Amino acid sequence: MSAAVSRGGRPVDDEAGPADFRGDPEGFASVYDAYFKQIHGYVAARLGPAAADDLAAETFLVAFRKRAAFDPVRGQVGPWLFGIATNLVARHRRDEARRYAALSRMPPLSRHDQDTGDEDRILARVSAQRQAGRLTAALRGLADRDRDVLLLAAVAQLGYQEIAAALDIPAGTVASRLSRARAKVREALGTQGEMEDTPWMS
Amino acid sequence: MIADLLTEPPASGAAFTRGRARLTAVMSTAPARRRHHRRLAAGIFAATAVAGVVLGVGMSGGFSSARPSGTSTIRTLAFTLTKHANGTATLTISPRVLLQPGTLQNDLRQDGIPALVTKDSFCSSDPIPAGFARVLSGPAGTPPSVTINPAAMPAGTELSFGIFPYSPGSTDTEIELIDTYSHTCTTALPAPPPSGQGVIMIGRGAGMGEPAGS
Repeated sequence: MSAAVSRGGRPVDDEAGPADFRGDPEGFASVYDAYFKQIHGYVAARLGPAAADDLAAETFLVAFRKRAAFDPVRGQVGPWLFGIATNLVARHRRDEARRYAALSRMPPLSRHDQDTGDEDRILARVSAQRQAGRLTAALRGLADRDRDVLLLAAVAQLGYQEIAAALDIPAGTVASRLSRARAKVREALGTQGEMEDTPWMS
Repeated sequence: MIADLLTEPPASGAAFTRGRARLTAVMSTAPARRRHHRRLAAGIFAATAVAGVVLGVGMSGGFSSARPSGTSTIRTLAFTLTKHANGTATLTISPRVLLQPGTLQNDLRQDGIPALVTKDSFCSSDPIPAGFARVLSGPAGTPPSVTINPAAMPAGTELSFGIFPYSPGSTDTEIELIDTYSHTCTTALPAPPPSGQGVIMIGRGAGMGEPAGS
């Protein structure tokens, strides 16, 4: 299996690749080399970097064990791996909620910040803190299946069809879940301004 | 905006290397599963060190890990792993066959037992997570068996198995409960810890016979 790197830095499957690693176990190492960084980044975003070290590796162990079941007709290697990673993340929902709670508790302004007298900077930071708190609270409040779809789009940067392949659900279901998640996040933030610039929120 | 908030620094080289090593260990077992190699060698040595187990096994061979349908037992040349109805599992190390780290690790994980199995290295946490006595018991019998209760494993822990060939034809295996996200690995087999420190060992040293106290 070989994987070229393009499309926003994510590996793009070599069309001949999937069949190669299914028939040649040793070829699976190239899948790991091509996708580890992306899978690790996705898991780290959801569970933190420490957990990502283990779960990203576990994703490839599971994929290797299930390689014979991989069907290139139903999707490419990348979404397949993100789907496995998402299933592994699902075993750690409490850890994920704790991470979002921790992110919402950003450190308060230091005495130095307050003493500098740069009011614009202080106000910007306070605003960012509030937005981060609302956003993480919104993420915690989403249904698990909606959050999975949202973060596969926003963090893993998968398209509708890729998410559908990753989660083994119809593309229409992806669209409805994403729409519902967007609405809840927008409601929590109370604005559409900045988010409209982001492809997954438009 | 969400990505900006959640993004963490990229994976470290060490994380990549550790993951690659785990995958390589598993991949190395795949051809053996197809070819069903059988090579046998010398004997088993087992004894209980103070608070733990070192499983003594003999020289190496390829392995076929297969769980017959309708049963809950995996048998290989190197070990037998039986999952019981109550959720516990019994691991028996067979004599004269070197344990394949990837095979054992895979089979344990498939039975719901988080495990990190390494050869020529041993991973441990400081402090050792509490609850070891509820997770692992033994060794008992010949060849020595240990009983594992995965339900008693605290969240975020796994069992570390370190396999060390210590003389021609025999191997030590040390078992310890570790923190999944905070542990270090060493190429030296750690000395037996004081009693109650949460490590099981079988097979340490020369001339060992039955596990003490079994």
